[in-house]
Amino acid sequence: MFPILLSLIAIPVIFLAASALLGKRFSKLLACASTALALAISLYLVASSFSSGSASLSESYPFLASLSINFSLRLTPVSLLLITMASIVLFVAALAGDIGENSTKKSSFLLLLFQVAAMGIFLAGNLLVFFVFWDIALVASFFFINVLGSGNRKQASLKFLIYEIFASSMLLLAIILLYTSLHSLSFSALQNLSSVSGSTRLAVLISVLLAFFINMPIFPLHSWMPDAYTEAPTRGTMLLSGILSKFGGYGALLVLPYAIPSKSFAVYIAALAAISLFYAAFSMLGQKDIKRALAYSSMLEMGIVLLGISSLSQIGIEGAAFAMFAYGIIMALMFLDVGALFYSFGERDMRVLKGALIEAKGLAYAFIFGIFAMVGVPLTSVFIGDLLVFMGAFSSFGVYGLVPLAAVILLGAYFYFVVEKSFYGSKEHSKVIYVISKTQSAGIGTLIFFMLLFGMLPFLLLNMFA
Amino acid sequence: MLPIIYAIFPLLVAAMAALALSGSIKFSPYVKHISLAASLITLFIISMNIAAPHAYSTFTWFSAAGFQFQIATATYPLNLMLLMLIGIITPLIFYYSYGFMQVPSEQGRFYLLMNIFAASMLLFAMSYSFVTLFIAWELLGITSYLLIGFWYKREKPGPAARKAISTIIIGDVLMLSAIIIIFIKYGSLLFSSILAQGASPLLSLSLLLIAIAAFTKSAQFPFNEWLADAMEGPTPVSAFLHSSTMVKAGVFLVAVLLPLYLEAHLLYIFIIFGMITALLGSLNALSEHHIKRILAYSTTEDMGLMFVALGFGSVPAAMMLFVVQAFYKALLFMSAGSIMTANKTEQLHQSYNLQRNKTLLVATSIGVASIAGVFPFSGFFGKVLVEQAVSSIYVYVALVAIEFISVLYILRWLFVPMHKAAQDLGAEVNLGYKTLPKSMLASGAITAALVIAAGAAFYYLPGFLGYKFVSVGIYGALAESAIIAIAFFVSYYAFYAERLPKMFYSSSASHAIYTSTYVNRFYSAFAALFLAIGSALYYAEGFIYSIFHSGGESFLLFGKLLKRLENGNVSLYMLAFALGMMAIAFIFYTISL
Amino acid sequence: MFAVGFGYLIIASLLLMLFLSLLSLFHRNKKAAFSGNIILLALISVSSFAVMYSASSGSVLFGIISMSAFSAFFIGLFSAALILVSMLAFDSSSDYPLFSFLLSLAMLGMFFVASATNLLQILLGLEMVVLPTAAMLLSEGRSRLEAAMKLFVLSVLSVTVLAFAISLVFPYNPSLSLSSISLSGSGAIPYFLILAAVLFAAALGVESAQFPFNFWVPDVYQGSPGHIAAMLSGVNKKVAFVAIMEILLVMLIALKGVLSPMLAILAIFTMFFGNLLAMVQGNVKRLFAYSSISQAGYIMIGIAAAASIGAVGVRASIFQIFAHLFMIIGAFAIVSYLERLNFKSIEDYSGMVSASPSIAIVLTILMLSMAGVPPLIGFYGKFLLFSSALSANYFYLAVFGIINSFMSIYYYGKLINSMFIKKGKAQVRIAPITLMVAYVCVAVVLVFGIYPQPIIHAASLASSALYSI
Repeated sequence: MFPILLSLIAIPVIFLAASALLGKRFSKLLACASTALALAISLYLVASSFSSGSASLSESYPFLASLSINFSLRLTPVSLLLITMASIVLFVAALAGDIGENSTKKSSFLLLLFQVAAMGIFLAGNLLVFFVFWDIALVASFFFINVLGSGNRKQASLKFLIYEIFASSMLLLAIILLYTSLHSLSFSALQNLSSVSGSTRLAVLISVLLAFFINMPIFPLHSWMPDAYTEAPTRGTMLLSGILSKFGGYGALLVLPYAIPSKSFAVYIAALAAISLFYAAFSMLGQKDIKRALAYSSMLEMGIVLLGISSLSQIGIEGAAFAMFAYGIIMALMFLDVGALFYSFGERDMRVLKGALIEAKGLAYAFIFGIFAMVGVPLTSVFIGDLLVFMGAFSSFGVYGLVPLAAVILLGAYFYFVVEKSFYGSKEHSKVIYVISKTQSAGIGTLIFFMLLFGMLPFLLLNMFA
Repeated sequence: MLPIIYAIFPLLVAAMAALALSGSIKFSPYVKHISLAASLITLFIISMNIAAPHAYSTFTWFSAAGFQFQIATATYPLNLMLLMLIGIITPLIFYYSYGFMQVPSEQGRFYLLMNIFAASMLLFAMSYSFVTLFIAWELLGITSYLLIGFWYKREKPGPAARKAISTIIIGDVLMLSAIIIIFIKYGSLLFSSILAQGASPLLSLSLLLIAIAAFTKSAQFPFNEWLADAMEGPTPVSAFLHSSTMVKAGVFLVAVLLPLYLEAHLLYIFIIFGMITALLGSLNALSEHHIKRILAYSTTEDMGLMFVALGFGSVPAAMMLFVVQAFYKALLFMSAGSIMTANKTEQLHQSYNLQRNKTLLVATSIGVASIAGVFPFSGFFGKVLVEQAVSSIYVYVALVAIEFISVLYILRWLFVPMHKAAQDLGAEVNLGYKTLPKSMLASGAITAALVIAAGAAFYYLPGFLGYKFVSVGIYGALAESAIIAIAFFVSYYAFYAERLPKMFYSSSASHAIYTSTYVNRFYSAFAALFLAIGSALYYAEGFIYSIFHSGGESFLLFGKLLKRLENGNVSLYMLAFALGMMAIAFIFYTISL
Repeated sequence: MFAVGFGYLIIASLLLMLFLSLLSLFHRNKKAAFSGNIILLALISVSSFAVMYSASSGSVLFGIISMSAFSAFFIGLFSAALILVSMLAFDSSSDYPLFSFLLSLAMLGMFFVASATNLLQILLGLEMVVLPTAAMLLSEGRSRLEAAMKLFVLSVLSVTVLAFAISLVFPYNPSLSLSSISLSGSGAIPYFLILAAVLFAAALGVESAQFPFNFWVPDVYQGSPGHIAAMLSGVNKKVAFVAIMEILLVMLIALKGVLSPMLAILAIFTMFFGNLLAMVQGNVKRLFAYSSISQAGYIMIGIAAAASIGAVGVRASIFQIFAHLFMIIGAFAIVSYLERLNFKSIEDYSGMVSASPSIAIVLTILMLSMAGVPPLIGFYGKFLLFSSALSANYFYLAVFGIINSFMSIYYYGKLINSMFIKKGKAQVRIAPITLMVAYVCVAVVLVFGIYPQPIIHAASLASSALYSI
């Protein structure tokens, strides 16, 4: 049996070592090769899961024998969705994300480190493996912002680090609580959580909620996000909003159904999700920097994901997983596009940028397509995700569950306004300073392709859910 | 799947061809030929299927968590009617575009979007499940957006497109909510299952949401402003999307679901909003100066009337108006495009010498006569049937008043461009009329012929749709004609002969009835409110962060306090040692108790 | 038998080392002393690990020296650590031969403490560790005088108090052996014993940097040269912990109901003291001094838990001892070297990544490990420590531990932030030997961070051996 899950982690480790040793010329090539391999493997897994109708693999390697914790990896439908999304985003980030960068070696190294972490987290079979890779991703992201970011990066990265390390501390607390009470950290052991004493369960619930809500982020623990997303380089933001935020969502999806004391508690979480959603939508309305507005829209979409998870219904959770998949790809697309626009025109402020359609047609149309996707036009993957999530929300919370859809109106209204102000022509239009290369267009095209592919053929991914 | 689905394919092929060839200068002229050919093939396929059995067929797209999402198409009479309508109008518009869209670099993009739009409209026409419907619904919205903003280098199309799609997105979200409610409650999205359901509060809620969505699409009050701005798009777009097909999607949907509305006692909504829109539309049309915007307001009025007819439960009346309106509106827009091209202006009062081009004049007059409801043009039958469907006297009187105003504004629209121009301007305009592209005039002529022929629908349509034939009451017809005659004389004197004082030029009366600004201001206020909330949240953001920040700062404060202990004195070490020992002893003591 | 044999081998090597360094003291041959030290220390280290894994134990020298997995682990660890310290000293000591002699004395003392069966042995051994270290510091010259004096005074204080504590135990343990004292079963704990426990805690608290006995630590660490700071924080402190384990956990096991909560409170205060003060430091060396105080607090968590539930807590503390030893030796190696090049404060470190990328990366890895970020060894230490605290039902201890771990990221983050600024700075070159020490430490941190099982296993062996002394 070929250890395919381990290879998803081992391949980037090998390439990571190689990129540290080899020179600058090879770094981008190594990054692209590593992520392309990961993409190929995950697409292969998708194909085989589609044809066999199920996705469940597990591998276990001895690790901490004294603690009876193994290095266990497992593949479930949800994790396969996220692995696929992560490998798509990583591949495009490697191929096209290095717009305007001048330290390819550091960037590729950090990207490969992030790849190791992303693959590890989504394949984790127990909480320890989950935690280890979570922190690796955190460190990689911190350095992305700190070393390669723009103007305010020092403060933004420090804020990011403190918030996220607090989140991981809370996660650690939950892990050791679970370890001492359940004596096992595997995800399947979580089902026995109801047998644990009430106070321990409460402590686990609070720490897990804190940890994941900081990461997603959910109001009011989100203050690190706008600066961190805005100051990170294009690659960094693609990875942060496309993949890192999904760690919290994935963790919540795995743990919340068991950690919640009763079904009625889920309503509070849904309410929080809705508040966070609307907060993000309204905050986005006041933004002038397009990248910052996209950061808030990323927060909005994680609110939608949390809504789906809190519905605790099969359709809601499947929807949340598919939404994470879809939103990961679309946020990567939007941030890549904004990064390319910024590079081309030297401007991200929508009051200053004018007439982008005239000189950068491809980027502008990709942006407009991205808005269509974000708003949930059918034939894009986001539509399927939103549809399933809100079906779950309605089935669990009634008509109130559909109220958050109003935030989608705000999302669309704001971005169409951005397009009107900055893309459609006026008397003077912004001039292109740098022309983006073919790889950037290829990257954008790849993301559009996957967004449409799984939007038109969602059964490719949905077949494997029981 | 039903064979009717093949009707979509030629258009999709043409779209792909347009996309592929849009880059090359050499081949882009062929795109228009390919599109026209495709639309004719589509018309052929539809005609072949016109006698298809009345049935539907489903196809499972995907399933999740036990829910089956099905794509369903149907060839029921209503579907066939709309399919035929689209099939006929599409080639006409494409032929018109030969002359109108002359710029080579624009053609690839134009035909790509138009073909996708036409395909989506066909999909909408034949859809029989909410899934299919929603896909088509959204595609219509986004192609409309891209087509309104087609000339993106100009100033006005951008805001117009944004306004259009921002309004439509409200309807889309409400529609999605309704779909979700229906799916979860009834487990199926097929029209056949839904139509069989009994009344229930959730179903009424969904129907209400769908009604509002229909209003956004069909530019009914309070969503009626986007259509006027949408006139910034090229004229073929206005003729196709924003008069004959897309905007009527809402009406069509309500017609399909009408039995449910009847059960849920929600029909009065359509009457109320339809009447308000019709009134506002006609008043705005009367006080508007932009050639196409007048027609846009007129379109909202037409659709208001269709909704009123549906509100009184009469599908044949609404559909009759539906069919005839498509033709006469398309014709009027084609004429508008010709007039604008020849005069190189968009303002009504800067257009002259319409009589110069006899073909254009005749075609335009036919269209105007039809919309005015002159017997025996098709519009007459449409308007009269709608009036007859009305069963409330108040509504009837209001309707008659609106009819009167309609005749006024449409005749104004016809008479004003017929004024004679001054010497040099006149020469230019005459040249403009002389050099109008043949295709624009030819397509107008064909459409005019169809406007006349559509009158035959009066005899065949109700039967085709499965309803009893409705005859025109003689008194109603006479009353209608009388109104029209009076209005004709009034407008002749006011606009053609200019005997009456220039009341509606730019007087305060004109401003008073022009409600467009008020509705727009209302929306702007809403937008300003939201933006204000957004800015307020900016401060909230700082506040929230400062809470956490001060929490962290308190740690630092502790640290700084402790730092005072750092003085390097050995005596401090000793003191600490001694105190520490005592403290430990004390702790031991308390613990062992 | 195996253990006994190796035991004698170790003793012989120690004596040989002492003799050779005495010789080199007279012949003033730095290189010979260095190589002699390294070889013999390596020999000791390898033999100890052989004993540990051989699962044999025995006593040597008429039962005075006990070679068990516990003692073997620490002897091996300390001797390996002293190899690194000697390497650093070779570079930065002003009188290497004297240093090597004193080091041999210290190693002998450590040997005694680790393999102790008797209280007097511990006293003697501790004295032999602590006083030569003070002498080392004295020998470094006038500039180190203040730190040396402070160290000396406090070392004397701790040793004296320890002696007094031992005398208090005498009535209950006439042989002064380390076997558990059993109370007569009357229920009430005799006051003298409690007083003895207090004094033990105080005395050993001075050496192991527990609050409030650790006020001397930052001043002395800051005032010491690199090799001594590394030795103090990396090795001496751990020796005191070994003594704590032997005395408080094994001998005074009868007092565990009282000891456990008190040690927990001690741990909490130490952690907070260390972290809070580290957050407001501007001097990097002092920052690491406070950081190592807080690490001492973490180790104490394990011991407090062990007082309640036994071997699990000890295992955690032993693991963290191993981890922290390497982390702090590496850190002080670099920081002290940079101090000599006049890089003292956090602002001085700004732009380090362009001055010397390897320093920046090495220091970052060590700091992240200290903060408990996986997959570095520090994380597993914290994991074991906090779970042992939870197993002993000390929920708040674990929570405070985690909060402190989180607090530490603030100052590490500040330093990392400062280092990774791109400035066109002049290149900084570190002496190869010091750099090699740092690389070895980083290698340990990385390798055993990715696969910590061998060390956890060794710590388990050691911890279970502790309770069978």
